[in-house]
Parts: sequence; C-alpha cells; structure tokens
Amino acid sequence: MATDFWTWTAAILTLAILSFLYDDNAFYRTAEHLFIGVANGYSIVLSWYNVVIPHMIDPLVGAFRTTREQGFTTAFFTFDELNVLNPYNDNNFFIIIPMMVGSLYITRFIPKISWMIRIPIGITMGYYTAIAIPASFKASIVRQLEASILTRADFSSWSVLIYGLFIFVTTVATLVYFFFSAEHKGFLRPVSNIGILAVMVGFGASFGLTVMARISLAIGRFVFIFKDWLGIVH
Amino acid sequence: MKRKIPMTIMFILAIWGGISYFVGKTPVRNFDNLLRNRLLLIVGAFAIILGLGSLIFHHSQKIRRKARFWQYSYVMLIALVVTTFVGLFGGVRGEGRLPTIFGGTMLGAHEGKVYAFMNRDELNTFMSNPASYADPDKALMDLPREMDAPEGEQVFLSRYHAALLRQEIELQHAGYEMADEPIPPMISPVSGETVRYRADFKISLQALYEGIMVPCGSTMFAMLAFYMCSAAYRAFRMRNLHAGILLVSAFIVMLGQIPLATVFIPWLHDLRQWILDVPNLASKRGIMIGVGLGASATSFKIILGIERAWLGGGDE
Repeated sequence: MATDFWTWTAAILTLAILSFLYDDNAFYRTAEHLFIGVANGYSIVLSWYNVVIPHMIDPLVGAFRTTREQGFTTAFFTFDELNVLNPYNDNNFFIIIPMMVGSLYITRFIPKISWMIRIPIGITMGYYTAIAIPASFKASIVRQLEASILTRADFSSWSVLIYGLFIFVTTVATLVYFFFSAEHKGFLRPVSNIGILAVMVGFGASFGLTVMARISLAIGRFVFIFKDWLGIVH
Repeated sequence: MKRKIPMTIMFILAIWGGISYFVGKTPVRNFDNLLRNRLLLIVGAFAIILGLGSLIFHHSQKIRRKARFWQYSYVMLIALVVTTFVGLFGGVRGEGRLPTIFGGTMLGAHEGKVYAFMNRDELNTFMSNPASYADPDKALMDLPREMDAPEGEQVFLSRYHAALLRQEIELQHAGYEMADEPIPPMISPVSGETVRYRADFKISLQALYEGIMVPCGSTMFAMLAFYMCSAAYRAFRMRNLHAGILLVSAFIVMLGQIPLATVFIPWLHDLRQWILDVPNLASKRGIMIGVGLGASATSFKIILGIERAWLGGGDE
C-alpha cells in the first residue's frame, strides 16, 4: 500500500467521485467543489506566470527602470526604436493601453458603466471571428472538397476508383441529407437516404470510439487504485 | 452609443483580421503578431478576473443566504485561495519563496557520482559549484553505465538502480526513506539544472495538480463510461434500419478494439479500420463541410452586425 500523501489524496478523491454512481452524496459534492477550487486557482497561477509577469509586469518594470536610467522619451510608445513588434520584447509603456482595455471587463460589476464590457468583448470577438473565416473555410471546406473530389489518380486501379467513388458519393449524399432548403423528394430522396445511412455509420463509430476512450480512462483509474494505491496488482 | 461604439470597434478589428490574413507584407505581419501574441493576450487575461469575480460572488452569496449545500462553497473558496497562494508564492514546481518541500532526500549528479542532500540549501551549494563540494560522504554511488548522463542533464533511475540507491542511502542516513515510485524532476533554482528529489511531503502547484486535478478530472470522464452504457441501451435498441446500422457500426468499432475479440475473429480489426477509414470518414467529411459553411456564415453575420447576441441584453 502506498505511503505517499498525494497518492492517498488522489485515491480518496477517485472513490469520492465514483460514489456518485450510487447517488449524489456529500463525498462527491466535496470532491467536486475541491476540484473546481483547485482548477480555478491553477488557471489563475498559470495566467500569472504566462501572461501577467512576462507581458505586463516585466515590460512596465523594464520601461520604468530604463526611464530612470536614460530619461523619458516618446520612444517608449513607438514601434520602431524599441522594437516593440517583437512579441518577446520588453521595456514599453505601450502595454498600458491593452491593460486599460482589458480592465474594462471589470466594469461588469459597476451597473452604470457595465455596457463598457462590450468593448474588450468586441475587440476579441471581431479579431478572432475574422481570422476564423479563412481558417475554417480552408480546413473544413476547401481541404475536404479537395480530398473528396475524383482526380486522375483515382483511376489508377479498380480498387482506388471504387474507394474514391464511395467516398465521393457518400460525402455528397451526407451533404444532401443536411440540405433542408428543398424537400427531399424525387432524385433527392434516394440520395438523402444514402446520406442518412452513412451518417448512422459515422455516429455509431464515434459512439464506439467515445465509449472505448471512457472505458480506458476508467481502467486507468482502477489500475491506479489497485496498483498504485493498494498495491494488490503488480 | 452603448451598442454602436463596441460594434464599430468589433468591425474595425474584424477588417484588420481579414487584412492581416491576405496581406503578407512585413509591417502588417509584424503588427498582427504584436496584436495576436501580446495585446489580445493581455486583454484576455483580464477576463479571468471577471470569471473569478463571478465565481467568488456566487459562492459568497450562497454562504450568506445559507442556500442549499452552502457548506460546500467553503470547500471551493478555501481550495481556490490555497491553490492560488501555493502557486503564486511557492512556484509551479515548488521553486518559489514559500517552503513547499518538507523532509526527504534530494539527488544530484556530478562526474559519474550520485549525491544525496538533506535540504535545498545543501543542494544549491552543490549545484553552484559541484567540483568544490567538500563533503565526499554525500557521494553515494557511481553511476552505472546506462545511467551515465552528461553533467547537468537529467538522471533517470530505473527501479533496480533506485532500489540500489535506496540501500545506499539507508546505510548512510538511517531513518530516511526512499519510495519506489519514480522520482520527479526539479529545476535547481541556482543553476537551472534538472535534479531529482524525493520529498517526504510537498505541496507545490504541481503536487496539487497531480494529486487533485488529474484524479478528479479523469475519474469524472471515466464515470461517463457507465452512463454511456445506459444511454447505449436506449440508443441501440433495433427499432428500425437506421438504429440497427448505428448498433452494428458501434459494436464492430468497440469489439475491434478489444485484443481478445480479434483473437477469435481475426478480420474484425480490419473491418473496424475499414468502417473508420471509409464510411465514417465520408460522413464526417460531409458534416465537416456543413459545419465549415455554418461557422463562416455565422462569423459573417457577427461581423456585419446581423447577429448581435454577444452584446447581451440590458440597457441600450
């Protein structure tokens, strides 16, 4: 049996969470709240070390130190002279601007000016929505169409041709099944029927893979309990 | 104004996002890197304050009103404060100012010898200048050939060698115990080199992550296996052809992953792979194209101001 404090903690928490299988109970709720608290604390610390210190505190402290040593110039706000375009560059007061914009998130707690939270949300939303369009178009549409379309290479042998045709027809049929702008009758009806069959195979495969992934996680937890904690299995 | 200003800013940033993708000139690329890797990162970091504030406010209110299960809110708040405190003052791997490692033995390697230390100060003295380390008794054993590592790199101990080392340590420092599990690495705060240690007790952020977050998270996901089994019972009843295909497909995929099943039915694994590679791929591709079109359309609706849910309700 393990003697390490954290192995015992992990084992007790594992059993507490598994106890939910019987019913909601005090052990499960304690473990659940503990998990939420630790996970949030962890994200605060990671954000502190990965964003706050390198991107906020260090550049500002560096800028103040350089000001004290060399005097203040507008160079601290320009892009070129201090090479602020380098994401890892330091010493710049320019960083105050995104900090002020970010602090508008806190206006959510002040009812009179709570609308200002929309500004940082709008900035983030606008930029990431815009860059998502070409990325999603390329990865989800263009690349998939390229891979599905029949090319000269698909006619190199019968087996390759059958494979390519199968993929092409099934992909088109799936798209037709999800095309709700027209009623599925006439030619569309048999095609959408093929589509639903393909979708069912896909969903079944996804379901099977998900179940197996969860089962391997469950096996992992039981191995931890019987091997690492109790030491029964070697 | 309260809606137009944010929408205008959003539109300008969206136009910039589009320009930066299509214009490859260096100034544009540089400013885009600055925006993406630094400025938006800073803006996003403040969102954590909002989330955290909401979480603390919600649980404080629960405690104040003595709402149902209010006692557990204390567990959450204490865990949050302790983790943050340990992480901020103790460092991620326990290298901060807060003492996070109590008791135990630390190991360092130099010129083919493994050294043991009682505490971090001893280790730091050694790591700052191994050659001048005065106490030869701390040298426990010569590194075996397979453990031979260049100076300053990690020394990985096999279970066999760890047992040997433990014997040596027990001989020299009676009362100190080495556990059987692998010894985790630690970066020396003085030299930055990786050393191995075994503590009697440690409470670093890494320990909280491995001792609480990993077991809780993986057990919660593992528990879904049980619920999926009951869901499968409902989903897999063969009421019609479509449900039957779903059942057969899932059954083959699951069974084909089990080694014992493939022993009895050798072609099962190939059939499983064919299902994943051909019909599953084709249907997923169709779905992915649909999702891509939907995502692009929604993005355009947001940028053009047709979709305004992100502005929220409330005042104008």
